Amino acid sequence: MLLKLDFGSDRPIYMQIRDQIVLAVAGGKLAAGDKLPTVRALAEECGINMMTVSKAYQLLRQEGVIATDRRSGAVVARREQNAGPSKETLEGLRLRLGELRLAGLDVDAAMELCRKLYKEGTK
Amino acid sequence: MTSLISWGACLVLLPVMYALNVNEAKFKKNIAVGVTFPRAGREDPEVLGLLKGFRREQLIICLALAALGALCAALTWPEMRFCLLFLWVDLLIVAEFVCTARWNGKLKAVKKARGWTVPTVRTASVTAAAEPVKRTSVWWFVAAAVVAAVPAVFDRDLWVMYALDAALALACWAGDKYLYRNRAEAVDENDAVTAALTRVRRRAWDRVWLLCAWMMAAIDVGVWVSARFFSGSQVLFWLTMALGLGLCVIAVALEFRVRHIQERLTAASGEGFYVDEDDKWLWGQLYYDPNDSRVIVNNRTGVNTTVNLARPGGKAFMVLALALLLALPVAGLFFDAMCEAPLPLKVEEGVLLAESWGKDYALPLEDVADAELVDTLPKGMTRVMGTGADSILKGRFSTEWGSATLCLDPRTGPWLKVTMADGALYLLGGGESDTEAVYGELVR
Repeated sequence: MLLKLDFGSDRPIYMQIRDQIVLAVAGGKLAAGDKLPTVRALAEECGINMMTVSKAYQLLRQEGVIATDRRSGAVVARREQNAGPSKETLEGLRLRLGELRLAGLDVDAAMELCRKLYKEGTK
Repeated sequence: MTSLISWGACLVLLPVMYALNVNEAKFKKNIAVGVTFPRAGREDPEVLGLLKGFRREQLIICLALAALGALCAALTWPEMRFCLLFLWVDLLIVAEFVCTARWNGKLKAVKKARGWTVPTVRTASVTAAAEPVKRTSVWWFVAAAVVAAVPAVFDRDLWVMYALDAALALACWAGDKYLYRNRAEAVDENDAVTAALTRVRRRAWDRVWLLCAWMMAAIDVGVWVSARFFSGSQVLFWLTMALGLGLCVIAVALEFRVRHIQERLTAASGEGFYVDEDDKWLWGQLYYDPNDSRVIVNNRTGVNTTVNLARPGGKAFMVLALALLLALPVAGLFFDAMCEAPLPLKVEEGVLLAESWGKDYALPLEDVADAELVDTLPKGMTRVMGTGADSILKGRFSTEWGSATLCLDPRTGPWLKVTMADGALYLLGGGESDTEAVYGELVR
């Protein structure tokens, strides 16, 4: 799995790392139990500060995407199939749907777009 | 003779540099002459034409420098021998840099015109970074250091050299560990290729450093064995030459092997997403990325590493390298002056003084056991530590008379052979020194 970090983007680097790991897990590129690099190794790989990677991992851990322990480092967490989205995800989705409505999409067009993007993410 | 050997060693490097530079025109990791192209670029007639032009110019530079080098080597101009040699080395470096920069610019222009420029993103392989890194154990380097240091037990005279070589063997471990940027060799999203490229490069890097460490050990053992069993022969000289040449051959062969593997493994790359970091490489050769926190970075192709000029450490390194380049001809001038300077030999206040640039030898007369005027120098004098040129031999030498300290002009005798009370042997004088008069004073 290749991370692509855009240093010209407004989105902070730690969020870019977090987003891409979430997408990789959702898309099956990273499976439950897969080992992730240590904070130091990923910082070395990306050429960024260890604090930045640490912040991304912390966020992913809070969201339940990864789990960390002292022995095996960070691994992709096993998630319950029907655990449902978190409160933060629902809030985010509500905001994005609002933005789609403002962009002029009706409910069918918005659902179609969501379906398309959902399928893309699981390829 | 010294000058010819130096020119010979430099001129031998020319075809090696030519081969390495021409190899840059082959696509490896989608890169040729420092420019990243998609697959379509490899068949583009204009790109191929430019690469041909680059190779042609490299050949012209190589031939021109060879002719210039041969001309300089033939000049009998002792006051400028080494200065000219180092000026030639500077010219070689600058000519290669300018040539690569020029053709890099032309290729970039074609890339831009074809619309192959892609927005730059920093790529990082999560898969490769999660793999445990297997590096050469420090104990292999420690073993080399121990082997390098062991002769010091038997040969106390040269313990400084053995200790220095042992330290250098350990320094090779530090170089192996800290001068390598532990970053995956990602070319595209193919994890298997990334892992293979990373592994190949890392192994080659480890091997070169380990080889250097063991070369130090081999030289020390060679020095001791030749001093002990082949004193006065040319064994040490040829052994050192063979080891140095062997190391160079293996290092260059490894570089070509890694480049070949990079070429082969990425032959199918360049479709869809591919890594393009061209805007981080000035003229295709110097890395400048303020967003990269690391000073040491890997070259994009081959085994070598370079520095990030956006970091203070990288800037300092570049300033030092440039200063060294400028200082080389000046150092050559000094060395030429040292070689041509007279070597005064005199007796002053009960001390025999042999003066030379950098180091004077003072031998108290009360410690002198024997002094002899010799018309011929011992055969097979091999330098162990010090200076060896046509007009000056200075430092520790291995000779058929045993280990000796020299400070003499070997062109014309006679010379003074001094044996000290502790058995130490000195050979002094010659050239314009008034050796016979000093000998007269000693005998009196």
